[in-house]
Amino acid sequence: MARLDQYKLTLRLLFEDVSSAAGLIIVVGYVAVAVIDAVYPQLIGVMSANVEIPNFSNPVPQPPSWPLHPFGTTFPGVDLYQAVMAAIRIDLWYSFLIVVGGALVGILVGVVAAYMSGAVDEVLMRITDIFLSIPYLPFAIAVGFVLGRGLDELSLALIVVWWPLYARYARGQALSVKENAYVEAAKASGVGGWGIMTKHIIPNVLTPIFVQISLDLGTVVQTFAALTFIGFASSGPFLPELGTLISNGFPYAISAPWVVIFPGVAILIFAVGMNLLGDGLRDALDPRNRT
Amino acid sequence: MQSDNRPDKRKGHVLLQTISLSKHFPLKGTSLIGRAKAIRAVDDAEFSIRENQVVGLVGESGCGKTTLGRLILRLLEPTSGTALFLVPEDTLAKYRILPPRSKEARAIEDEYSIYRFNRKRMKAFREKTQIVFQDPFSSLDPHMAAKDIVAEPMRAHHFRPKSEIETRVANLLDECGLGKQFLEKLPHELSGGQRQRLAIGRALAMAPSLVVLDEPTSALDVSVQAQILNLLQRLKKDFGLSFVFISHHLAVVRQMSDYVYVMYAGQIVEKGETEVVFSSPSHPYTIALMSAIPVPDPVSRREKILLKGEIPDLSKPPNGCRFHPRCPRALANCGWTADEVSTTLSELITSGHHPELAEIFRSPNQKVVDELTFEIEAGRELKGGEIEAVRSAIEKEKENPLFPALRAVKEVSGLPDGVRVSLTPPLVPRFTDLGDLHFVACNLFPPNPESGGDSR
Amino acid sequence: MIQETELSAPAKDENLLSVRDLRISFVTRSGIVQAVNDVSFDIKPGETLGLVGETGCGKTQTAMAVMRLTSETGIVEKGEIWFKGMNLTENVAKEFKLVHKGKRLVLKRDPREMRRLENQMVKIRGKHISMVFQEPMISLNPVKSVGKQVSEVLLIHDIPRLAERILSRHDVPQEKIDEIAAALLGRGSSDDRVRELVRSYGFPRLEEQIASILSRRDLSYAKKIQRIKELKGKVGRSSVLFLRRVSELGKVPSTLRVIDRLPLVRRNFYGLLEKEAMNVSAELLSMVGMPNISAVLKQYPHELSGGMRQRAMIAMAIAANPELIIADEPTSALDVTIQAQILQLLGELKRNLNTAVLFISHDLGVVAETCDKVGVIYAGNLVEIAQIEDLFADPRHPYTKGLLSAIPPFDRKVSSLGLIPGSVPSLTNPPPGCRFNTRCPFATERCKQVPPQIQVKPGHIVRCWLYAE
Repeated sequence: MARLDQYKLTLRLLFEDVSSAAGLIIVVGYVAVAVIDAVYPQLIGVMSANVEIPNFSNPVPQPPSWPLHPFGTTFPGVDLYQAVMAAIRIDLWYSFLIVVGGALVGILVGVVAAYMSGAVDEVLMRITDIFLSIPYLPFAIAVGFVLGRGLDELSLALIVVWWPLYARYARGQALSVKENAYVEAAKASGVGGWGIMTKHIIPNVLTPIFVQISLDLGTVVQTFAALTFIGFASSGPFLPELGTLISNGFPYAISAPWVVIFPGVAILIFAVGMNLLGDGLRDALDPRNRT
Repeated sequence: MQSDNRPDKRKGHVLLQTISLSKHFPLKGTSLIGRAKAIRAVDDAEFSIRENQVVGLVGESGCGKTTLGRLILRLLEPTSGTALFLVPEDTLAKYRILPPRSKEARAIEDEYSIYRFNRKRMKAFREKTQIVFQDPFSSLDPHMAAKDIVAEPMRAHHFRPKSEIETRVANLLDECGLGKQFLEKLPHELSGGQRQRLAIGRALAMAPSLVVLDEPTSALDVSVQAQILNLLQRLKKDFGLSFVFISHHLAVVRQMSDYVYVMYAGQIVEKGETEVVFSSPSHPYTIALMSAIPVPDPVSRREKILLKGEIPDLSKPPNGCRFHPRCPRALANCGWTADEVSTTLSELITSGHHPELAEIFRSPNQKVVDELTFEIEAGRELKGGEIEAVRSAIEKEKENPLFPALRAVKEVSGLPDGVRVSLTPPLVPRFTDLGDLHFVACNLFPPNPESGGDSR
Repeated sequence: MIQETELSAPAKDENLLSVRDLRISFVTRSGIVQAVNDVSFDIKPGETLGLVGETGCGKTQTAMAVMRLTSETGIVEKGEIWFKGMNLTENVAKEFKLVHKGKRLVLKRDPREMRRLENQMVKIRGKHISMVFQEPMISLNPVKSVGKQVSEVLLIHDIPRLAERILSRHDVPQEKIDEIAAALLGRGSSDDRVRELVRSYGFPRLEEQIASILSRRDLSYAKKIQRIKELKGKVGRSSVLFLRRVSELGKVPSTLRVIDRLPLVRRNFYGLLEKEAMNVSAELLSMVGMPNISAVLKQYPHELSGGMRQRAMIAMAIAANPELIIADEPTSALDVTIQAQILQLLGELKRNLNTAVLFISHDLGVVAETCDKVGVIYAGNLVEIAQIEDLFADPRHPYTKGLLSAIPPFDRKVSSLGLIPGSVPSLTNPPPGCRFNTRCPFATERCKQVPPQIQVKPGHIVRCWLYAE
C-alpha cells in the first residue's frame, strides 16, 4: 500500500534525528498517559480520574515521598502525582479541541476564500483580519465574564482567537495549490467547486498545516494553562488542570516549591516535546528529504 | 463563406468552431483614468476542428495557443466572441452571415455556444471534452493513487454502474501501457512518461470526442516522447478521437496533425493542412519559425532567418500586423508608427552611412505629432536640395534590412525649422485563401476579391 | 583478441581538457547511485564537444565534476580530470570514505583534502573554465543589477586587465586621442580600417579599447566618437601609482583594500576599477548582442526577457576570457526563434574568441548545429563519441541509432516513430556490463560484461560488443 509506506517513511525520518525522536517520544508519552488515564487510570496509579481527592486531615502540602506521594501533595492535601496525571489528560483534551477546532474553521474559511477569490475572498479575509486583531487575553476575560469561567467557555474563546491564523495560512497554501494543473484537470473532468475544494485543495493543504498544528499545540497548552492560572477554572473545585494546580499551589510556592514545579514542568516538557515534534515533522514531510 | 476545414461528407457538423474569439487579461494597477490596460492574449481567433481530426496549434511562448486551448474547453471565459459546439454545417454558414446582435444569431448562440451552456449542458460538455497538460508532475494530485485519478471523471459524471468503474479503469490504463501493478501507485512513484500515460488514461475515462493536449511531450525525453506520440496516434484511431495538439515543437506537430494553425502574439497568422503549410509556408513568421528549428543533420546547414527583437508586449501590441517590427519582408502599410520610424530615422542619421544627413541634422530633435506623422528639427529652414537629399537617402535605405521602418515613409515635406515626415497608414492583414484551404494573414498576400474581406 | 582503444595519455599538451574513466556516485536513501560510469573524453582548444543524452543519464553530473561542483552527496570515486596539464582530481579519492551506519552508507569527508582541492578549483572557476546554465532566472543574482554582476566577474578574476586598460589611456596625450577621433569621423566603423588607422598611431592597448567602442551596436556613431574623445578621463597621480601596483601584483593588495574602505579614499581607487569594469561590461554586452545596453546595465534580471538574461549569462561567462565554457542546456528554456539567436551568438563567439565549449543538451538538433564532436551518454555510460557529421551519417551504437530514429523528422511525415522498448534502468542497480543490454535489440550474453571502447573509424569510438572482433 503506497500510502502506508509514506507514513512509515515519515516515522523513519523522525527517528533519525535525535531531537525530533525525543519530541515524538515525549508527545507519545503524554498521549499515552492521557488515554490510559481516561480508560484505565489505575494503571498509572490514579485513583479517580476526574477529581482531586483532598485530604482534609492533612491539608498542608507535603514534600515528595516514596511510595505514597511521589510528587508530594498540594493544598488541600491532594496527591500531586495523581492530580498531574489526571490533569494531563484534561489539558491535552482541551488543547486538541482548541487547535483542531480552530484549524477546522480556519482551513474552511481560508480554502473557500482562496478558491472563490474575488469578493468572497475579500469579505472573508476582512472578517479574518478583524478576528485576528482581537487580543486573546482581554477577549478571554470578556468571554469569561459573559459566558462563565468554565473550561469549555475558555476553549470556545481560544478557538475564536485561534482560527484566523489558520485561515491566513490555509489561504496562502490554497492559493498556490490552486495553481496546480491537477486542479484544472479536475475542473475539466467535471468536478464541481466543492468537490475540488474537498478532494484536491484541502488534502494538499493539510500537510503543511499539520506541521503548524503540532507546533501550535505546544503554544496552546501554555496559553490554556496561563488562562486557567489567572482565573478560569473547572466546573468543580477539584477538577485537576495544570494551570489550576499551579494557581492553587501558588501561595505555597516558596515554602513548598514542588507544588508549582511539577505541574509547571509537566507543561514545559509537553510544549518542548510538541515543538520538537513539529519541527521534526516539517523536515520529515519536506519532499526534498524523502528523495 | 467557407469554413476552414474540408467539409466532411459523413458528418454534417463541425465539432467545435470559434468565431472572433478573444481573451484579454486585465492588468492590475493600471490607471483609473483612460482605458484600462489589458494583455491581449488571444485576439479574434477563428479555429475549428472536426471529428476524428488532429489540429495542431503552434507558436512560441506568449502566442496565445495555451490560452486558446483553455478557451475552447471553457476553462477560461472569453472577453468576446463565441465557440460553437457540435454545430451543423448549414447553421454555421447561416450564423456567419447574420448580423452579430440579431435575434437569429443569438438564438444560434444560445443553442450551440459553450459559453451559454447552463450547468446541465456544461456537465455534458465536460463529458465530451478533456485536457492533457504539459507538466506530468503538477497535473496529477500527489495524494491520489493512479486508479483514483483515472476514476475521478467517472465519479464526477456519475458513471453507472459503479461496480464497472474499477474494470474500466484497469482497461484504460492497460490501453495506455500501464499494467495492473500501477493501479495503486502514487504519482511520485512513476516516471515522466508513465505519468503522462496516466494523464492520458484519465482523459479517456468518459470516452470524450475532443481532447486538448497542451504540450503533452515537451517535458519528456525524446525516446519517451516517441512512445507517447505513437500511443496517441493509436488511441486516436481506435477511439475516433479528435485532438487539439498544442506545441511549440514543429516537427512533432507535423507528425501528429492533419491541420495546423500558426499563432503569433495572440493571433492566428497562417492555417491550413499540415503538409501544405509545411511544404509551402507563406507567412514570414512561419518561414522564420521553420528555419529556426535546429535539425539533427549537421550536413544541411540551412540558411537561417534570424529574427531580431523579442516577442512583443501583449498589453501594447504593435500596430497593424503584430509581426511587423521583426518581419524581414515588412511593407509600408504593415503598421509602422511614428515612434518606430522616427527612431529608425535617427539611427540612420547617426549611423554614418549618409554623412550629408548628419550635416543637415546636427542634433536631430524629433517630435511625434500623431501616430502617422513626426517632425525633425534642423534648427533652420532647409533648402529644396537638402529636402531632396533627405528623400533620396531614405529611398535608398528602404531596402536595407537594418532600417525596415523607412519603408513606411510616404512624404517628406519642409517646415520652417526642419522637415515633416508622414507615413503610410496601416492595413490590418486579413486572411487570404491561397487555395487548398491554406489561409494566411499577411499584407504580402492581399485578399482575393471574391472572398471580399474574410474576417480573421 | 579484442583491441581496446587506448585514449592518448591525458597530460599531453594537445588537449585542453581530458577526462579519463570518470566515475561519480551519489549516496542516497535507496542506495548508491552510479550516475557516471567510466566516462572518458578530450576537448582540444577551441573545440566544441557536445554531450547528449536523456534525463538522468549523467551528462550534467560529468560537467559539474569538471568544475568540482558535484553536490554534497556525490563522490568522484575514481578517474582523472586534466585541464591544461593540471590534474584537477589528484587525491580526490582520498577525500571521502564510505561508512556503514546501520543499514545505510554514509559519506565521511576529509576536510583538509576538501579544502586543498577547493582552493585549487577557485582559481580556475570563472577565469579558466566558466559555466552557462539552463535557467538564467535562477542563476543570476536577483538583487544585483546586470552591470554589477558582469563587473563582478571582472573584478574578481581580471583586475590587472582593468588596471592596465586605465593606465594605457593615461599614457597617451589627449591631443593624440583627439586626432584619432577626428580621423575616424566620417569613416564609418569598418573594423579593419579602424584598426589600421589606430595602429598607425602606435598605441596598441588603446587600439583594442577603441575597436571595442566602435563595435558597440547600441551607440550612435556620434556617441562613439564622443566616447573615444572622453576615453582618457581624469586619473590622479596617486591613482596611477595604485594602478601600477595592482598591475604588478596581479590583484589589489590587502592593505590597500582595507584603507580603501574608508569613505573618502574609496572613491579614488577601487572605484576606478569598478568604473572600468562597468565599461568593459558594456563592451561585453555589446559582444553578446544585448539591446539597450545603457539601460540593461542598470536593470535587474527580472526586468529582462529570457533571451536577454541568457545573453547576460554568456557575457559573464566570457568576461574573463576563459579557455573553456561549459554550457548546460543553455537554450532549453528559450523559444525557438530566440534559441536560434543565441546559438548563432555562441557560434560567433566561438569563432572570434576561440573558446572551447562543453555543450550539454538533450536536443540532438541543437547539438548538430553547434558542436564539432559529440558524445552520447546512456545511463551514465559514454556509449559513442564521434565527429558530428560522422555520428549522424554513420551511427554505430544501437542506442544512438534508436535515439536518432525516435526524433520526429521535420521534413516529412512518418507512419510511426522509432521506438526503444522499455525504459531507462535504475542507476542504483544497473544492469551488469553494458547498461543498455535490457533494451538493446542486439543484446547477447556477452553484453553482460562491460564492453570495451572500440575505434571503428579515426575519431569515432563506440562502446559496444558488436564491433569487437
